Amino acid sequence: MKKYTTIILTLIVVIALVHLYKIKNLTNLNYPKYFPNIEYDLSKNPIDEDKIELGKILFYDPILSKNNQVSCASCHSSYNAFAHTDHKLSHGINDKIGNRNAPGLFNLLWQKEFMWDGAVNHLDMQALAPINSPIEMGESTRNLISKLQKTNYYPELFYSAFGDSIITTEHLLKSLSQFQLTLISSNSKYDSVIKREAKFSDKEKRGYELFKNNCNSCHTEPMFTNYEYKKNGIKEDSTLKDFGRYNITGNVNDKYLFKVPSLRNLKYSYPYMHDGRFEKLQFVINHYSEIDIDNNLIHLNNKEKVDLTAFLLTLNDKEFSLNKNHKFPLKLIEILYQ
Amino acid sequence: MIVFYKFLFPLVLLSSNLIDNDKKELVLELHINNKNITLNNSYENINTNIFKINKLKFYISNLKFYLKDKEVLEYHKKHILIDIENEKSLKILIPNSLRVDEIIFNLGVDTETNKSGAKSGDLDPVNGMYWTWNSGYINFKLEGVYKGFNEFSYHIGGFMKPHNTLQLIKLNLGSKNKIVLNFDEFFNKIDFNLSEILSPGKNAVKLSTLLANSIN
Repeated sequence: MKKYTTIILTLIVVIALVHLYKIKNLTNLNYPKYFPNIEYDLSKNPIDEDKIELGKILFYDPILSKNNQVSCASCHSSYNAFAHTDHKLSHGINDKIGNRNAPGLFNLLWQKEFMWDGAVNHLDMQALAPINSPIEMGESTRNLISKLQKTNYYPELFYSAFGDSIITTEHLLKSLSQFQLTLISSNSKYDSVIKREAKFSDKEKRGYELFKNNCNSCHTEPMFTNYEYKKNGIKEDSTLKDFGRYNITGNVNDKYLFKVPSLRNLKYSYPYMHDGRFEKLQFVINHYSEIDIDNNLIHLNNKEKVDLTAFLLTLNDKEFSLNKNHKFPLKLIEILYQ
Repeated sequence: MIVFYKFLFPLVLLSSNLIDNDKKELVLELHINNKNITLNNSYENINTNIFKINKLKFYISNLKFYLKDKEVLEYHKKHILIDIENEKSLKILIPNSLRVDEIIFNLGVDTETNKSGAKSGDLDPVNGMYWTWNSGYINFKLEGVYKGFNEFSYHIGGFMKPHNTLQLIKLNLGSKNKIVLNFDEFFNKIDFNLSEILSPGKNAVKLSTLLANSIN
């Protein structure tokens, strides 16, 4: 009898420990225990399959732009962790060029402010910025709602999702948020190491130590950003004249401050920085080891740079970039080609 | 069931009718020179500047009614979009029996609402009172022309410190069934040379203070 009790107790302890590091289940939103508390208030927009599906269809549908040619996915490709690989600046309707590099979209549950300068303060409101921007999608909210209402499929999809076939801005934005909230990237090699399912190579281990000593204060684990605004050492560009955070706060101390981006999925999200000026990771590392930002210079020799790069590459989440649930929805193909 | 349809249902209908009859209208009047503002009418301020107004929209929020310094009612709608072109928005329904001598409200949208995502109704961004390129509601929108065809546009908003433009308004109503917002002082003190304020900042705060002083 005593033997069985011991076995059962041991089993309970093992299961509890596994659970501690495994996944927290929140309908469709699975993330590891070591991720911080989420920022998005799900009580105001409870997760639901139909809303996620509607949000995905909207995300991929170019109807969101004035000339029906540009969708969210035009600049946020699922294969590239929802960034715009190979494009320094994003492209809008009628071949217009934007003034910032399209960032990857993932782990948005934890993000409080959006855009490189934090111009948008809630995920729900984020979509309206590119939709209304004349150099991005160029569409007015009112006209978009009326276009959606006139289709023979969206009223039904909104009805399934929200129980109302009258389309509203609130429902449009909340469904777009829901799809984007499902974009959780937590299956990199780094994550496997934290979950004790894999081990770093010696090179990666040395890179991890360098990372912790030099980068972690801004690109803080496990999200690899502290979500703050910092100087990146890039001088004002004479054509873009981008003052970063200052544009939003009007505070001179915020000049040339930009949001610290996550370092997850760097393999897919090149080119780097707010204006996409660096095509290779190596250029970014060289930049930070050459530029003195407020008396902070990162001293790295060539071997150390190689080690650091090896660690940074463990943050790529291949599973995320290939996740079929995030790809172009078949339903939209039916809709567009019916 | 039959009992319900024959007796209770008419009673329910009757009582809901009674509730409607039990309300009175408080009319919001927007004044220049002690008269309701008329769009595209020519006005002259004390600096002999001639101007016309062609758009006037603003939010009031957290409206509370007082009698002898005691709160007697908090309005059921937290935010109301007032639009001079929408007569319905200028009527506020309160219980007929309610006696009121003072109201207190905020001119604009509070910080929490500015930060908490997508909203419907009066707060729907399609109303043209939301900045999508710099998250936040426009608390007060006034557009028109001065000195002939020179346009002015004042889109006053911003909730982040130190540029918070939300203003507290306290008005004595007396016994009249109307709320008068007086814009005389605002138009007398405004500098039309600064003809465009379209983003949060120092100027927006200055104008919001001017508005509050004029209305209060």
